[in-house]
Amino acid sequence: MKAFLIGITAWCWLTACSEPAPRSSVFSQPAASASVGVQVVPERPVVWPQDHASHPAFALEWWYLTFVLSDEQQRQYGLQFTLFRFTTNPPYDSHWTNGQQWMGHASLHTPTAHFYEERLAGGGVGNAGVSAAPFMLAIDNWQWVSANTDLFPSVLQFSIQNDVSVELALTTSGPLIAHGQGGYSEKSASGKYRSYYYSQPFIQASGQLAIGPKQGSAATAVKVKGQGWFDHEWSSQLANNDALGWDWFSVHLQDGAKLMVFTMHVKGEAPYTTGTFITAHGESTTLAGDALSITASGYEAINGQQVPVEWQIDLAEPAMHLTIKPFKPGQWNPGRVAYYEGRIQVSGSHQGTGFMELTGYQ
Amino acid sequence: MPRRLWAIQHWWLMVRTLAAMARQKPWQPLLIVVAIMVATGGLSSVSLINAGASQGELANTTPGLLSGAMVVARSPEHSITRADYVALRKAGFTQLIAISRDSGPFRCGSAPASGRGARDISRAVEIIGIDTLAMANANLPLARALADAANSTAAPQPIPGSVSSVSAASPALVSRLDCPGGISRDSGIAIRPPTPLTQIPDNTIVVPLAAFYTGNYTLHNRPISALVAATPLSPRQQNALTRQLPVHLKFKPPPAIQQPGTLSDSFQLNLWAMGMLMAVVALFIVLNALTLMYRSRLPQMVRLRQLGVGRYSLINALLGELALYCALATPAGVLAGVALTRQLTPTLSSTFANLFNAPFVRPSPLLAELLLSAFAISFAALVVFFVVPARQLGGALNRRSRRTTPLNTAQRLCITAVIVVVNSVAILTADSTLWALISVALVLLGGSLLIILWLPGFTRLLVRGVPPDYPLAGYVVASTYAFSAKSRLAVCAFFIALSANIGMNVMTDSFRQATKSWLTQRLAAPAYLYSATPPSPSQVGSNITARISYRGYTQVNGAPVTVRSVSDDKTSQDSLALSQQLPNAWTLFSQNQAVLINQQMALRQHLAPGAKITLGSVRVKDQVSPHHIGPAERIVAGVYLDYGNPDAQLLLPLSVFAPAAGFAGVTALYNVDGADLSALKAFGELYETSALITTSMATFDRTFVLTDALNIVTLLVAALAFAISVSVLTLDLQPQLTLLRTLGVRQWQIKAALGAQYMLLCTATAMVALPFGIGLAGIFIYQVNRFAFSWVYPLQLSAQVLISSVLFSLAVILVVLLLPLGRLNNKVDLRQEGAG
Repeated sequence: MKAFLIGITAWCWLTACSEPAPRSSVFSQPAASASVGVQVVPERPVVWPQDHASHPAFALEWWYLTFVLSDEQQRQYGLQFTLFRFTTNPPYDSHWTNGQQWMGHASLHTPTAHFYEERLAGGGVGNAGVSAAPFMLAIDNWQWVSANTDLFPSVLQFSIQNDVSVELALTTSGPLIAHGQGGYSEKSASGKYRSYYYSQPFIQASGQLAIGPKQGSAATAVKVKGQGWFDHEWSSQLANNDALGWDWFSVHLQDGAKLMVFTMHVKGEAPYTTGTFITAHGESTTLAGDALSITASGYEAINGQQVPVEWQIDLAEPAMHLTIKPFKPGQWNPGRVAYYEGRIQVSGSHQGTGFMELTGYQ
Repeated sequence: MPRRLWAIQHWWLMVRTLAAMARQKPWQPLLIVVAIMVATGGLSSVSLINAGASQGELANTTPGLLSGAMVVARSPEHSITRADYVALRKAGFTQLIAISRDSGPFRCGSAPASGRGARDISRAVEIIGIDTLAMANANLPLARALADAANSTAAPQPIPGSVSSVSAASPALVSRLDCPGGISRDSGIAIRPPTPLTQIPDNTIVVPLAAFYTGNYTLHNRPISALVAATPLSPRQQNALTRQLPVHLKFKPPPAIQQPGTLSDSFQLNLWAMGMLMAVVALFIVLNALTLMYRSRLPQMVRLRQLGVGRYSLINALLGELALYCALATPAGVLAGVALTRQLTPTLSSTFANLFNAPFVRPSPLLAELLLSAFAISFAALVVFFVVPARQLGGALNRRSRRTTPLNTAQRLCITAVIVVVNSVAILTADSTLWALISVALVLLGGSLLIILWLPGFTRLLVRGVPPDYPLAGYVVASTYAFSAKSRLAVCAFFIALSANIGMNVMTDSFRQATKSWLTQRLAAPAYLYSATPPSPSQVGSNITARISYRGYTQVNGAPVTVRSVSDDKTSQDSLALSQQLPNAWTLFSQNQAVLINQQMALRQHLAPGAKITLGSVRVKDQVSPHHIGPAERIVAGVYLDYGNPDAQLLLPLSVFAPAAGFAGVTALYNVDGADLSALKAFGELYETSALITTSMATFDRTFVLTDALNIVTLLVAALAFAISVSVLTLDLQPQLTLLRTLGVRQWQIKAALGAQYMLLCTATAMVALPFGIGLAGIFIYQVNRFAFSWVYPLQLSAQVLISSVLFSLAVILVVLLLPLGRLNNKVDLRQEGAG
């Protein structure tokens, strides 16, 4: 038996089949000094359009857009635009900032290249924030603007490191989806970790990507269109060192249905898996317990860590067996908060595409 | 007896014999160990000092954060508002970072500014608040470090019970300030002791803007001072920004004098060369130490061979012993070097800050790296020793009677000719920076070989030349001759250090003289105005003559070239230093038939006056100049000197830039005496030419005085190694010295005689090093600089520089030699000799 264990250990060491490295909390650093903040409670459902705006009383919040796009030559792109808000707890009152911090992430994956930029801004300065009427989200000249209080139709404009400029017109073909219980979304079996969480999975995007001005030549502009997914989530509980990260998937199935599933990893608790299945008509069902399983099936070495990038997702109802593979290797966002964010290919019982976010592997 | 057992017995006998010899004369191995320690310690120290200096501002090619372009209020009555800042960032000018300045009062320690007991430091520092979060977006080391410091929760709270802010300052200021208890302001939260960061101007402490605006410090009573560009703005971005600015703000371009050009590259190359030089010197020192040991062991080795010990056993045992000394001494030397450098860091910091006005960053020693390089040097010396002297040992052990015949003069002349030819070919055929540096190494090694070849012969000539009436002088010269053969390698180390010192001094002096002369000639106007847009005639005034400079871009033979305007009048002709030109250069230039090119372009494209080039369209402000739509053929009328410019550049007449477009940001002002310059001062940055030259030369001096310091360290290490050699060899002189004492020679006379013979050796070395040093300077200027930076300057020989270099080096070695000579015990110790 001892020889067997030694053999297995040696084989694993040689073939790098080790388990992923221990997780570390993804937002613990920026939010380490955050106050506890207002707690997420089930009695308070999500209300639109008011909740599109910022919730500064909560420690952590994000507005997350991901797009699966293709150009006229059917070249595929994965695009991400995110604005995070953190409540910090500075030991002094400042006339410059209000204790909030904003962080923007923009990422574009072409089949051969990755463009990424991170931006930071102090809250209260005026160059970053989210307003509800009309809806406008911005950090410097990265802007997502609507003409009224609704999120859509709207225009998204941003650039990445002077290499890429993006301009997309966004419309929708389905309703907003509140996850869990009216937007009250539990992240752990004990219910200790929870957030308010809603999505817009029916985004239709069309516009233009201009790539390459830095090279000195004129930028190559390509017309693109595709599907998008929007998440808005806020919480105080997740800004905690014990929240170790999550494996999250958003899937656009070929028949028009949508699927959001995730496994949350919390220190001292078993991984918690849940999700939402959304029909092509916008009817949603919360998935939990034995009806859903998410299993890692393949790893990619990123920065010396084994990151699970291939997955098997199985649903009991509706019956579904999905194999998730990354669109390309190396879909890693190397910012202060580093994580995996990448486009995926979906095969198995259903075909589709989407995005995968893996945190806590930095 | 089995053969293997027999061999082991012999080996054990050898080990015991060597151990007994080491016990009997412990000073010999100890001095060898010390020599290796000095070499590896010196190597580590130079590496660390090098690292510390290269992290400083002078080695940075990017200008400091606060010395670049910025947006400021047009007049003191106006100020930059937060709305201005937000509007510009939302318009896409995300390079702009808000800063606010505070000039005090501040005090060292926790006492309030008005309190007693705390030291007032208001005169010494200015506190600047920076929007650190916005700056973190710029991918700059300083931005990252500041943002990390600002966001760090692990930073210490040095003022118990009080709220305080993180801060950063230049390393020089941090060492000068000495405020372990932090800094207090009359309002706003206290400031923790600053973290040292380069790229921050001296006398400046940086804090996050959020911490700056606390207490009574508000945007109303201390408005935003400037929006600084964290990363350089392209000309297109500058123009867009200028158009976007509200009327109460103006764009201030970066001062041209603070653009480092290739000065920092030159400095970095010098630092690298210093490191390599120290490595070579260390190699020679270790090799010398090993050879000295071999010499002291040789008689016993021969006796053991006569007793039947195998030749290979003897060689292996000796190599094993020497390897053991290397293995012991090398890490000890590295650790001693690291410890010494760390101990000296406060001194180095204050020296750099006070004497050189430059920061010295406490280097973090990468011990593994230092150990690796030190072991590489030690064992390389061991390998060289094994290849050369140990082979001689093999021969000596085989047939003792067979002695190596010294080379005769003809043979030495032949070898000298070969060395000269090889060096000449290397120098003349060098066509890249690497080959130029290799030719430097070859010259140094060739010089060392010449020293080894000719030094004993030269001293033997002296022996013959001393009249028999002067016995002590005869002894000095004869002893020098004997000593020269034994200490050749130590002399080589000294020769290399001295040649390099002379070479660097001559090169730096030539560069300095050329730069000063060029600046004086080029900056012909009494004042220069740096501004975002050209001044209007009303701003200039009727009495002042303004010459506006324009710029554009073009291509010559497919390579990008910057274009600048120049007037063709007499003033311009006098101020433009042409190194080569056609007789009718200015006539052709005025007729737009010819161009003037800088030396960088001439060397890169192999162009000389009279050559024809195909000039592409000249683009001014992204528009093709209507006066120059290419391609068109032009003659190269002249080549002008353009020190420090990394780019190829050519000059075109002003007519190409008409109507006025492509303002280069600088206006030369003539007839300014007595004129009212207040309008111009409000419009841009106004510099008097004398101040510009002074600032430029001060930057130059700061840069190269650091390499001088490193050079002196190398010289000191070489001198120390020489002194150790002297100590080892003096041990062998005891019988002779005793005899001299019994003959009535006084003790001080003996010491003076010994000192004289060592100084004679060093002077002879210096005489050889002098031409080699000048040659090295020539290679540095005409080869290394030419291939690394594409510009050269004339080699200028100054007797003062040469004499001071040699005298200083001799003074260093004399001071170091006084140590072993002072401790020399020339009393008779016959018991020891008898035992030996």
